[in-house]
Amino acid sequence: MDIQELLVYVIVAGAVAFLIKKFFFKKKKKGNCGDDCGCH
Amino acid sequence: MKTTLAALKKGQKAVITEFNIDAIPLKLLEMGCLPGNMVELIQIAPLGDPIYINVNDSHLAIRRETAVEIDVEMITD
Amino acid sequence: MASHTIKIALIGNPNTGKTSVFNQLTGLNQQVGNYPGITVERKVGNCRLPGNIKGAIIDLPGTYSLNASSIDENVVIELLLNRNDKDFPDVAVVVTDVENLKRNLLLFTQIKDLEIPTILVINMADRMQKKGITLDIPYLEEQLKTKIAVVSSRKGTGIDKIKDLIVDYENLSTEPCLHASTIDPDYFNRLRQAFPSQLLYKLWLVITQDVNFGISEKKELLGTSFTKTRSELKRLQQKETIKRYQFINDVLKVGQTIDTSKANDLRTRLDRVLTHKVFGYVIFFGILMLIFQSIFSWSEIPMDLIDRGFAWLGTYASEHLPQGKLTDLIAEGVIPGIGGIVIFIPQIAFLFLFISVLEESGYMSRVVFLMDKIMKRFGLSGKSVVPLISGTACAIPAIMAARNIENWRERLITILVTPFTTCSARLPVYAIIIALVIPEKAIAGIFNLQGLTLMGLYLLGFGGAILSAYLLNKVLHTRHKSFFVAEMPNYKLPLFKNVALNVVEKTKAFITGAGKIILALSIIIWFLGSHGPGERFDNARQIVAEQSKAGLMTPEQMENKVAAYQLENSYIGIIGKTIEPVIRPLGYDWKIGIAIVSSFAAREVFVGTLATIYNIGSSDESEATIKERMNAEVNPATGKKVFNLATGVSLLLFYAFAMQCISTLAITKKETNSWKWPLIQLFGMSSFAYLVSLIAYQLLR
Repeated sequence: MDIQELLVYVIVAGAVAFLIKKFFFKKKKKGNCGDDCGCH
Repeated sequence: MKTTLAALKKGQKAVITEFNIDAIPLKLLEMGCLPGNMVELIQIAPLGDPIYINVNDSHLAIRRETAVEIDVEMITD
Repeated sequence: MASHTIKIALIGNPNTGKTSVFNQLTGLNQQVGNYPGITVERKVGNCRLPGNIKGAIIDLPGTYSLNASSIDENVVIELLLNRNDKDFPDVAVVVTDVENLKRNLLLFTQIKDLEIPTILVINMADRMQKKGITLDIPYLEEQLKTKIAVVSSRKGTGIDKIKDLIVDYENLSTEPCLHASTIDPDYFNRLRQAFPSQLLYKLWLVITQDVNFGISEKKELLGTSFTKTRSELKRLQQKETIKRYQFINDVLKVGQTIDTSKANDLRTRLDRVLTHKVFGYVIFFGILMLIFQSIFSWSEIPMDLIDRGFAWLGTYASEHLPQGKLTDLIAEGVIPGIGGIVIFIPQIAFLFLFISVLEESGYMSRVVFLMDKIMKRFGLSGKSVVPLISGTACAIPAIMAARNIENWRERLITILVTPFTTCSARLPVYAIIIALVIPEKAIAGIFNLQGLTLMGLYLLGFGGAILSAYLLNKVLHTRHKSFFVAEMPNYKLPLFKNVALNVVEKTKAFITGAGKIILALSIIIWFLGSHGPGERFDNARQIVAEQSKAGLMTPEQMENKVAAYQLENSYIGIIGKTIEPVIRPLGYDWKIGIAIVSSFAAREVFVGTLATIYNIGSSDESEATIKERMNAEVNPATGKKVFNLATGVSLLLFYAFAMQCISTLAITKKETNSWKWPLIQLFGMSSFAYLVSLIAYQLLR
């Protein structure tokens, strides 16, 4: 496997990891107000 | 003459006398819509609602349903 | 002393020029981010103060008082009540508008009660003479127990005075202006005895606010004799407000004189025209038309240049970089991917430019006033106009703009229907499909058919939003009362610096936010399209050669056939073929299917995906643009063009209505604090889109 191919796999893995992180592990902290926030 | 804020005509001025506090948002009070303050009706929206008032030097738009909860004493001049 | 950075919080009512003061103090030296866990914008900037001292300024969201009624306002209170917060200010700078001093001072007296060193900035000083206002500054400083800087952020005067006062903050009085506790002495005395170590006013705020302050006393206070009913609290808050205004009026009676004969009636005259029952609407729709017209005609040239530029760059890269997979990835995945993001910059920048000019000038509030009654009929508020117009740029900031709507029900409906408006991400999809299937001819001599189609799609988006608002209004039942208070600010000439900074920030946020996702997806799609399982992919050349033994082919035709066969048997080809039965009734083939699936993350990926797919699918090295490639695409079974009228219209309708933006779903989740509403958006909008496209295709076929 040449160096170019290796780099491609690294980049693709990075892209997948980025998307997973972005959409599945983003809810670390929750907003701190109830569902009637901003309406009284 | 006693009436409510909703009954004012364009350009008329009045003094707020009383209101139903549970029907008025706190924000309106903070803008200066309080008993004793003068209020002027500047403009009525083309379709009759909301109304555009000047109270305590704050220029605000409020809906009629809120305005009817505010009692005023009309100033005649 | 010199090594210490002074932490400064900029606080003020909306429309006081607080952001201009911030821009003047920090210049370009600012960062915009979010508060952790919530979507409120957090703006921080650095400034150099006299004596080589550094200042870190935080620009807090505009608020009318310390009684929060929105998430944005909560941020202000949470920071000012929590001395352990890393941003807790050494000094608070309260920005006020000289023409609204009375109302603006209400917030000032509340902050003074928190015993934080506070500087009063009286802004818009350039208008004082015109309005006949004179101020007795020494008297005001004495009564308000503060130091005052009279500034004009428009002219840039007085900014140095603010800096001098900030450096000297340790000498500011922290004594409150008035004692709010006299509104109910008995209650407040008991409170003082129960929590002797705490600031009385802080306790009072903790009791009256519905929010979590990270303060241990909140738990102790709940369930004690100190809690009161909402109605009782409100009565006390009214008393407090009256008391504050009494104090302010007494101070201003001496400290401020207004020569009413000089009162300028520009506002009155402009209001008369702009809120007129006929002209008001004519002007509003005229402005809307102007905005859309200019966005399309002005951004056409830069967009075209960007499109061609990236096509050329891709070819250049593949020709000049060493042969190999990485070069393929760069030329066929990364460059078209970045191009797909960059192409949005002109349109988004123009839209944000117009929206920020309309908001800065004070015109937007008049639109709110004009439209409230109409919008109310559909369960919306006049204030929904701002999200619906901003939605033409991007639904994400638009949904955030719905925070200004006081009524929860109206706010929720606004959030739910905003994604129907035609956002700029749909534009490239519309643009390319219209160019392919709608003939370019003139109607009635002046109107271009393609332009009319685009306008029709915008109207369709607004129509979808209004109609679904109407339906939601019938279905939803909430217990909340309807409140509506909109400030009608003074008309102002927008400041170039503010508008420019706003446009740059918003555009940057879009590019870095959505851009990274689009780039990552482009890379993955390229990979899935250029790799495949099994020997059908690996031995494509051999298989194609065997199949076409009889036919004589030029080497070029051969290359194209191999490329097409490979794509069909790649991972992405397999995905596309799997979903083909579902989308065939709408008139789409498996290639379009792939583009639709990948654009569920973000609509604009559609064009980028097709670009990537056709780039992989054809081996010729010419720099044909995406459009040319799509137009040449032929259905192998029928021999007809893939992008014909029926398929095109069906696609246009699908993109008009389908919920295809993960970021919007995420923001809906955040703003409504529930998964229920984003799921309703997703399934409601997408199934409606499927149905409409199905009908359209079957009728036009």
